[in-house]
Amino acid sequence: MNPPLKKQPPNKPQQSALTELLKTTGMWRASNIDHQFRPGISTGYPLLDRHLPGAGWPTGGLTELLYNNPGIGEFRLLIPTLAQLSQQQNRWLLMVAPPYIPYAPALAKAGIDLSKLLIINPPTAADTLWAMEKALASKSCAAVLAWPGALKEQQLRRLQVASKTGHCLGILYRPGSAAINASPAELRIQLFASPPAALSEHSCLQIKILKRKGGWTTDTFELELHDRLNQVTPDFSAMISSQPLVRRDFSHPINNKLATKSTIESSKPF
Amino acid sequence: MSPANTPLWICLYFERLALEVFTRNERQQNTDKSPQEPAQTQRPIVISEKNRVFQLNNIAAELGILQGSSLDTAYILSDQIISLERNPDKETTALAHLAQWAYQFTPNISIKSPNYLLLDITGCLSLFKGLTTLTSLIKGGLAQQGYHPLIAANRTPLAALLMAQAQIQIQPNEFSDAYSGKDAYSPTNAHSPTKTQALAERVSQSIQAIPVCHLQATEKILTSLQQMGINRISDLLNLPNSGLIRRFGKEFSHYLQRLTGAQPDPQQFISPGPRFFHDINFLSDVSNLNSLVFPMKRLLAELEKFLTSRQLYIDHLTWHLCHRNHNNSSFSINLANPDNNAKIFLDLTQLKLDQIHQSRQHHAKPNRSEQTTNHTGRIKPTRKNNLIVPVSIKEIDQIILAVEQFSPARANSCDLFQNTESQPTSTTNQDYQLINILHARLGQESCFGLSESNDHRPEKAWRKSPLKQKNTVSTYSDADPQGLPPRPAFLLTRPQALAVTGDNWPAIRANNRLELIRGPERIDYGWWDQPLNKSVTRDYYIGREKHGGLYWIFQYTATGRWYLHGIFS
Repeated sequence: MNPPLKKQPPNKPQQSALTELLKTTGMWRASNIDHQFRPGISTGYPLLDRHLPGAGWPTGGLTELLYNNPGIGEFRLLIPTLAQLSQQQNRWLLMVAPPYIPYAPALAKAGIDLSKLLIINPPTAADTLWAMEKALASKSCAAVLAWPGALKEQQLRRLQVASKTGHCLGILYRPGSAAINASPAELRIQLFASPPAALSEHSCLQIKILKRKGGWTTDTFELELHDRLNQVTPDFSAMISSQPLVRRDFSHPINNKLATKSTIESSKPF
Repeated sequence: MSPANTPLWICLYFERLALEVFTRNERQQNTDKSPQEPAQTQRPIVISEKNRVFQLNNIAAELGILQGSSLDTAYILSDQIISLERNPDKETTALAHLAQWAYQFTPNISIKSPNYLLLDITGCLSLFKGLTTLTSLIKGGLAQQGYHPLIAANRTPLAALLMAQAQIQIQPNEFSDAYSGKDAYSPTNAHSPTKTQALAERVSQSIQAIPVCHLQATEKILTSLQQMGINRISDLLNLPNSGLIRRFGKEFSHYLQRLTGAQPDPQQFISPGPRFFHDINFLSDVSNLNSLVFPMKRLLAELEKFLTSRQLYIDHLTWHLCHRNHNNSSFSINLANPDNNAKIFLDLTQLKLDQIHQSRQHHAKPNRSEQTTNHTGRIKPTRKNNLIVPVSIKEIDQIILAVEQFSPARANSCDLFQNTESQPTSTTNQDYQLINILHARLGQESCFGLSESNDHRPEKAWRKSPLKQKNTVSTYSDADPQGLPPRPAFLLTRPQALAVTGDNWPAIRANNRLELIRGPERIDYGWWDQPLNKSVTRDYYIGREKHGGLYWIFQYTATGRWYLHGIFS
């Protein structure tokens, strides 16, 4: 390995010497994720792309998204990619056993071409696995999103093999408790809820990459989604509290048009 | 004019049609297996009509059973006999199908009931390189389907028919001149009277030895001919025409003239049928799924030929299973995209059969332990709903493949640069294959697309749509989506009532009240759809749970009750 540095020179020259050394020896470091040689589809979030091998969601292998509470942004995270895929590729976007009805107006508004969306609700768990395997391997899907429920490692491995042949984005939504178990998936990301940044119209999501090829587990970092779900209104709470409140019907808290987060907070005692 | 223009007709005489419509499958299976294997064909089969033997196979004939003897006699001679009631409707449809099948050789086909087909092969002889090749092709094709006709040929349709009736098979070198161009009788002008004369002469020569009893005439004429001492057709043709008219009427004379070709004999030709309806009968009941696959494969191969010859595609086919002791059942196979490939049809059929088989096992198990667990009992109805028709593989004695709707075949063009690593695209066939197999296994209801619908109410703003062609150009909704507040990606099928915390805040989980971050958006729920005097309006909000997700909730303005309606996943 590298010869030990005998002297302790000032900080700057040492760093440059080290980088020099790294350049000349051609040593590969895991932190230099090789973006070029792994096929990926951009996530639409530059911050997330930087963390992922292939600068995006892997297309040859499964991606697991682990989360506990629905609604934290597990689907919003994928919307830019899905919209891009549906507009650029003439292949299906398949949703296998979604827990609720995918809502067409919202998806269309997000830019997803509905004519390429395909939803299947298999009657049994075995059918779900069968459909996923067929779809992943079929080469006719641009993305397969599945909510498979409990999976055994063997089943995961089979799906992983199938997704390698199909050259498509395979997303598995799994409960956060599955993070403890090992998985053959290409990429595993755990998602946590996060309060939005102050005065931002977008909501946030906490992300922890549990497993990625050519890299270590990351710390949790925050990602701002492009969803515009927060209403950014100036804080009128001071104004309201200074005036006598006309409406006191708090069975219906936001009858007042000026209500914001802070007014609701302040109205709590009533 | 080329010599091939001398008309030439062949007649296919399905002598044993009544028998063959029932036995054609068995024969086939036997020849496909080993010929030594003793099987169903080795058993005597008798087709009965009004308790009399109408037709019988060789084994039955060897036993001494005669045509026309009573069924009782037949049963006395052997107790092994399989007796089947004659089915004239079946024969008619079979003959119609055979005519359709023969359409691959010539467009001019006429059906002569009960069991003759007339084919005008004048125009197609050079295509099939002579009569010998053509007849062997026809014979081979029919034998594959289990039919063994007698083939006769002559210059006029009626003469061909007559020869078939007289059982004069076509000779190997007969009419070879028609193809080789050495037709001495063919004059240069097709419509000249000399030609007709020559033709009539020639036809009369070929049929002169045939006994008059084979003529298509009334019993009365035939007896009086015999009484006159006229036994052969040559004798009849030597008589003066005027005398014939006086004795037997104009019709008979006209028939004779058409027979010889002295008078034109226009035929009514079939038009290629747009309907496919083939069946296979089993002499012994089939209750095993695997033994269904082989006959199905045969029917599908016939279908593929039918489609290819007509340049047609189908996207729907139906299998009917007829059971001996209970009602017929059927199941359909829908293709997402029209196709003509028998292999795809077979794969889908097998998938469907497997599914039927599995569901049957599912049914069988809870049935035995019906009262043991509530859980298995609950599964049962859901599986049942998945199948459109309850299909059972029990005592099947006939399978029918029916196709009624056809669409013209399309030429598929592919992307020149398809399947490159950077831009993976798939051919349409592959796409639809995925949908086909999903449909076949999961049923059509559990596999659908989405589309927007023009309604402001969230529940009605979307609908399931059948899977059709993908748009190559992406579409955007007409409605102005910018004007509406955000909508959740997932909607609950039914709004879920929310509990309220002590201070009247909605909460999904106990002690975790929802913080309203956006709203309200008032949506009127359509007084026109509601019972009278019940105007329902909802105020929608986006609610956030602390350390949780974003939810789409609403409050009824009238009652003040909170409901969860969507999830901003």
